[in-house]
Amino acid sequence: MSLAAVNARRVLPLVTGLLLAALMLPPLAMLVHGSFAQTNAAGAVTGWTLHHFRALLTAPGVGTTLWNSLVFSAGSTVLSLAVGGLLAWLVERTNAPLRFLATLSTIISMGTPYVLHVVAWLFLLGPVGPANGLWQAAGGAGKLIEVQSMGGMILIEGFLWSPLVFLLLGATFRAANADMEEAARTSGASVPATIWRISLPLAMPAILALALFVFIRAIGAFEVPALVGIPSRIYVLTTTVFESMKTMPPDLGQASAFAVVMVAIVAVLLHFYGRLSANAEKYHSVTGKGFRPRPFDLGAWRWAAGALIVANFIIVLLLPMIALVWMALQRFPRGFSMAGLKTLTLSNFNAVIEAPNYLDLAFNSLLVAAGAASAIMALAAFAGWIAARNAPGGRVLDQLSTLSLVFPGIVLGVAVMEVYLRVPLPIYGTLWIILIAYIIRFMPFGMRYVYAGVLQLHRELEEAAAVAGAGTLTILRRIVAPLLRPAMVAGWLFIFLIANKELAIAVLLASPGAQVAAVAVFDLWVNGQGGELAAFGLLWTLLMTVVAVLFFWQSRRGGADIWGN
Amino acid sequence: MLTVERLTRIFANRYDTVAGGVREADFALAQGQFFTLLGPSGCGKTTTLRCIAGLEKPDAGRIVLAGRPLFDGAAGLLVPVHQRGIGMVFQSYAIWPHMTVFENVAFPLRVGRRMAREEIARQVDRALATVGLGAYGPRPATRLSGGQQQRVALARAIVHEPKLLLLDEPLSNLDAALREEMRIELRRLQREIGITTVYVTHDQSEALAMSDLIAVMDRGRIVQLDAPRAIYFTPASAFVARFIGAANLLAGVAAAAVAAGTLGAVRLDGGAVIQALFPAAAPAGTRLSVAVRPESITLGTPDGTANRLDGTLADVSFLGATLRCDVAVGAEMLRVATTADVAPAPGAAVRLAFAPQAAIALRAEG
Repeated sequence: MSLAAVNARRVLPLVTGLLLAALMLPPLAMLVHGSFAQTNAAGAVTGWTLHHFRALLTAPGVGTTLWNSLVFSAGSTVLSLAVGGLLAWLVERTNAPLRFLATLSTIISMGTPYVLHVVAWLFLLGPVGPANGLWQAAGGAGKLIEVQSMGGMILIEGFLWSPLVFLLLGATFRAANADMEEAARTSGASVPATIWRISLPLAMPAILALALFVFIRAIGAFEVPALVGIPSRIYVLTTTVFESMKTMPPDLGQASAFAVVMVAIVAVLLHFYGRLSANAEKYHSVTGKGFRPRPFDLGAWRWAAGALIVANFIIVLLLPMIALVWMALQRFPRGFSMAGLKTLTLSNFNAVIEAPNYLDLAFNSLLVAAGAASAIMALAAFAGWIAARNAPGGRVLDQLSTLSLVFPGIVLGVAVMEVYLRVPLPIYGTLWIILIAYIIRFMPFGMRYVYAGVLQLHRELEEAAAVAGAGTLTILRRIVAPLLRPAMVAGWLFIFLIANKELAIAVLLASPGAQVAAVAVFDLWVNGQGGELAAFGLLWTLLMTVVAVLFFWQSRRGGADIWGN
Repeated sequence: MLTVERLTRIFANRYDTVAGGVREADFALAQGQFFTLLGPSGCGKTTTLRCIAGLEKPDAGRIVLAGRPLFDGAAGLLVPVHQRGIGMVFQSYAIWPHMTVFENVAFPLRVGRRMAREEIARQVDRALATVGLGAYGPRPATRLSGGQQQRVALARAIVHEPKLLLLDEPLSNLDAALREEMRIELRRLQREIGITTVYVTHDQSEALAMSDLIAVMDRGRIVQLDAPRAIYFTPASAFVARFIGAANLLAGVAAAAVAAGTLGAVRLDGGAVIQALFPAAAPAGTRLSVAVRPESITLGTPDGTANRLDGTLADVSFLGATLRCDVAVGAEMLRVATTADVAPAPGAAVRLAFAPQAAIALRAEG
């Protein structure tokens, strides 16, 4: 017993590290390898070349692609920060009415695949949609909004990200110490002056860090560029990678070269993000227990603030949902109209419920997401504990498990594909490859949950067990695991949710025999089956909302506020 | 019972040159002794305790408990923490919130050894009864007051009848009244069980009230190892004098060479000459700090051969049982504690008197 216990401290980091390395390192290595490899027609490597990078530099439109990526990411970052940030402040720091609506839209949007949102927005803002319909009915000429444009992409992506901004900035505002604002008020500052000179500067590091975070995610975003951008020939980096993978035969070399460029960009941005968020920590002004933030009294303005909250609720949740319901109830796509009311039908729902492939699809998705969440939390439990306790090897484990943050989803899809095309494991074209890609992709999130959870456990709880005679494994089993359960459950639910929303990774790895929900929605859209798509998407969203509610309930209990990071 | 020899554990500090930790700590405890490591925060007392527990790996030295070496730097021997058979109470109590009181206390009996269920129940009940929590076994650990958590932690530390009990500032999280009560309770329990105990605190009154032996620590070193009375009445250095209680320290020089343990003359910087006790020999002209306790000084007109100093009463504070008088003597401010029935007015000229044995001449620091 003594020998095993002594060794556990050394063996544990080693085993965890080897597993993580086997998962995390090959995709990066293969990506770099693929970008330099010269291959023959059969795909075998024949030598090394800079050709892919040269081709990338000289390809027509490469500058435009980069520029598009930048504009798209910057624009949607600014929009989502403005919308989500204002909302978060109103909800957390003021007495505006109807604040629960903001939380409600966030919970439901957590469960909705992004691709479904995009489809709904395309309908709402599209040529036959109500926005342009109303415009024309009011006597406007032409179209009010051309959604198939950079502006449309930014608009949709911005609203897509605003719930996440709302959640993360909400945590920041909640943590702001009201004493500092009240000190300003008693010094004679008006409410606007207090906000401008105290609240905003205090929140600024967190806002900047979040802005960079959203920007990084927008660089890697796939749904909007694919559904809105590709039809209008507006390409960004992710869709370029996707297109070169979809040519026949796939141009792995060029895709890898683009991917390497993206990884490099993201890695640099992540470096700055790390520094920014470390800076934000310093401004964290909550100290001690029993702390309760005191909201600003908006006076008569609170009804205007309430109207804003309602407007956001309508735009972010209600309109897209109504659009989806409308689409689901129409046999053929058509805009909102009185005439349309006569053609309402449940045939799409019937088709979805009766066709066996949808049930299989749902089952596959849930299975892969649950498998990934379980595998990640199991591995992260050890890695996160070792890292949080500064045990030997902890830093390496931390870096290994967060390595995949540099991969935009589509890039990880390419990389995982390259790895398992070459590894003699018969998993290509099965759900297993999607499972592995999910594990790699979402490992950093599991790690964050465990890490933050362990930091909340007083070290003496473990030391007391050691003094009482428990070895490392006993301490982990009897003390750490039970106490970490709320954080583990919250992490599991979070990964389960985002895995079920994920399109970018799965879109390259899924095959007819191994399909997941988000990809199926994408394919339905590409095939023009909007009605069935909406019907299936609504049922799916209903199911996921239940999980999302569980997640929020668990997060409140576990106190884990580490959303999306 | 417990022998610690040249125990060293130094923490590298990347911000400045002063490194924390403990250097060459030496002490030996007899069976049943209550030993206190006393010092300001950062003096190395907790590091010493954690080295004994096995939570910290010493750089060098030797730790032997009841004839069994736990650590020997020279021989490369290190018994891991969970095999030392020690009981410990942590500053935060470290009561596991997911277990009942019973399960918390039973934990040391369940891990690492096979014991019958009835035997465990019997021992846990006995430990809980010892700390006065007989009926609390089934209660969830989250529903305990601070004092009750403290008792559970103590029961957990003694349930497996360890040879050594380690207490890391166990009273610092309690309010003043409860602390007083637990101090007496803890000492009573310790005597009753007869367990050798190492206690860490920064509170000198706690240390004086509870200990058989006190080690005062400063910047990683034990600067005085003595019984409470000796520490209080004959501090070994100006640091100990200042730390152990609010002593007045008067700067001066030795008027002539003085042998250890005898009285000698000290010329204070203000010009007055007083008689003081020299714990260590000092040649003439040695810079000294003379420690005089506030309660050793009398105000007014004393009799006999006492040392006398003239001053002006600067401030008087009423503290209930005593009066605190701040008296300006030349450039120095002396604190005097008197009974509350005399009430001199600030600004009055006063004469201070104290016995030579109450003035300890210590080598000046720095």
